[in-house]
Amino acid sequence: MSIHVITGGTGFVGSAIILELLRQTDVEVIALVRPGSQTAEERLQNALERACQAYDYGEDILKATQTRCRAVPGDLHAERCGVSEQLPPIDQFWHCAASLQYEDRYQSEIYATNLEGTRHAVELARHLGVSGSFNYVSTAYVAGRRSGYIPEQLMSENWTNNHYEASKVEAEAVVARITEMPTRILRPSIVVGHSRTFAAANSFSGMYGFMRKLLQFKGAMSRVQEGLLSRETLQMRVDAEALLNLVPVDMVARQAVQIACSSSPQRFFHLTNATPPTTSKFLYTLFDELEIKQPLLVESRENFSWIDKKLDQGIAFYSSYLVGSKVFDRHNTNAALGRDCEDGFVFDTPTLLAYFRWYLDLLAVTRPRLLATR
Amino acid sequence: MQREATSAIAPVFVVGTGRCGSTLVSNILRTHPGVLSLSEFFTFVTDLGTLIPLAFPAGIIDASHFWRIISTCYRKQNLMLRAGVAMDEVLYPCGPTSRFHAETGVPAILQTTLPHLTPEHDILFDEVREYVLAQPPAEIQQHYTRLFEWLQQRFQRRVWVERSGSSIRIIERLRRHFPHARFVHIVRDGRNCALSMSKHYGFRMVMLAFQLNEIMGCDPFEDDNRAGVVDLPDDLYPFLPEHFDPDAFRAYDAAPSLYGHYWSGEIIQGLEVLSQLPAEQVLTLHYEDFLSDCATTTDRLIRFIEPTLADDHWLHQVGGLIHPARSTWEELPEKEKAFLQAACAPGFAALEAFERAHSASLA
Repeated sequence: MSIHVITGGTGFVGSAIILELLRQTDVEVIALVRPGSQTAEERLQNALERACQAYDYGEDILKATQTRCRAVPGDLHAERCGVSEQLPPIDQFWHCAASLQYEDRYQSEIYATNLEGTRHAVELARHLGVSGSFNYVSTAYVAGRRSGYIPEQLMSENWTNNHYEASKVEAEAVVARITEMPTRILRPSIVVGHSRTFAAANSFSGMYGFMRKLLQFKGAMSRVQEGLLSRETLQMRVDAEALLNLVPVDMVARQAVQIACSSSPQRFFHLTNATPPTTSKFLYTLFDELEIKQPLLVESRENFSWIDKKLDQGIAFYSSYLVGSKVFDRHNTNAALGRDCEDGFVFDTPTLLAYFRWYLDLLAVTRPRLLATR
Repeated sequence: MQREATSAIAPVFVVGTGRCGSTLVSNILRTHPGVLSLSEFFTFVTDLGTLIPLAFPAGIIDASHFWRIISTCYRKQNLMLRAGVAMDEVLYPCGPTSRFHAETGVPAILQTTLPHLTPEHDILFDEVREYVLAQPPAEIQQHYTRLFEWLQQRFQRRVWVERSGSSIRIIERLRRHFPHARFVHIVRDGRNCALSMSKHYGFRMVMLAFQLNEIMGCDPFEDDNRAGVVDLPDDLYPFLPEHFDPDAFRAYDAAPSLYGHYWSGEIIQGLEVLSQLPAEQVLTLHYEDFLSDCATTTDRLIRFIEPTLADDHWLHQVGGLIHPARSTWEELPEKEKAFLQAACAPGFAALEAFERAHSASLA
């Protein structure tokens, strides 16, 4: 029986990878989970059940999460991830856990989790004597400020915009230096919900964080003047024709597992969308849905008002996505998947709206009502 | 016209967007022997306008609830006191021997309202407490009216006039709760209002509160829930109450144009309410007229409040209260001037339309 170990199995991408392993293969999965108010096992099962329901996976998969998955208490911040339990022989090690914070005040946490955590995961994999591959889930946005063609290779220079991106670049370098076992560095782009249900099981970062920022900004400006952003045109430093590489989580998981099961000798794989929408299409559709006047997408911040600057500051983390069009090479990925053409998912307007509305409906239920302002 | 409760003269609310010269009006009226000038009452019982609904609860409330509304040491205003960034409007003299100070907090009605009336404000505070707690349950407007009339009689005045900065924000509630009240709307060039707002600590706190509330999903000064803190950008993080940074607060820069939008919105919403009132219940006065001809403008004010209160001798003394503004919007950089002009344009248009219609209905 093949056994895979995974960190971050309760997270967005990690839980999807576990479900995909259960669907595509007959492996058993051991998830390293940090206990909290719940036991490690409770946390894992709750996360997987939530993901199964969100993605409308059948009873078979749900049952498999109980019979073929188990949790082992662990802590990414401890040496060898704090695993004291003796584990059976491990075929593949998946390191999905990460901090998705990016503000400066989280710098030490970001590096502790993303860089030191990766070192601890590598230490553990070495200690376990993993016979197969060490699979590291990084991000396509280690590309940082680069634009144009982004190759599937180690970043030779640091062009990053923020601590999150920089920590992932450094973590990739740690993984790339492993010699004891094969390694695969998997780089998803902007991971969004399931391609059929549009749901995301947890961890609402990336596109969802951007939507929240915009909604919060609209709310704050409405307190300044009711309906201000339905009348006032915002300027945004965005390359209108840049490609916004949204990719559904099930596509990422499916391709990640297929790559892991392949005999590809390559090390870097972009798990990206071959047919992404443009930033302008995304923004115009989103602004319409949020009842914000469509923005003016500009090439310079020179004539920004205070409101424009405030929004710009608030979405600075997303500049990698919005400025400088990136075309992610997929040669390694496609070769591993055994296809001639790239795997694409079309984000037409109805699909974008479905994704937006799913999350906005969730926010409407989960976000508390604030006190009236007058 | 029907009168409120037992008062012979219908009360007056002086309303404005804030930074419009209305404090001057409170100071002028304080010097008139017939007028009880209530200053910044609603400013502080709503904690700088951030807790407005709590100051106007629905239904019947008892005396202790009302006492809590007017005497609570509200968090934002007292945080500003502790941090050394209190607004200039605060008149309570906190010091080593004062009854209330930064560590105890100063009750809302004592921040400005009672010190504005008398140097014996602590004694008056106790008298107010005794009076308020002896009253039977009633709707909130009755509680307010009783208190204001009691103070009016206590100081042997003929009418009470309440004025709070930015009270145009609560004008609809005032209209509903005090249907026979009259309104004096103090208007100042919105561009100068906005410039002044951008430098004023009270407005800064409010603008920060707007942003914090939306991002945190709660008022972090009233709620310990910090689930939303991960969404808080670094530049707003220093303003959470648990580690409020006064230096960061002093340095926080919000451009006049942002307040220009605020000013326009307040003017438009305020005028919508004022336009529903009979023309004789509304008087619009321009701050610039107080500066250029204080006596004439003040005379219009006092005659609107009550013609029999007109007093030439008093009029000639009020000029000494005028202080010219320290800066004007025309000194701003060109780009910001343009943004500010554009932001205030809707407010100017609304004012023009209102004054045209108002003059026509008075003619």
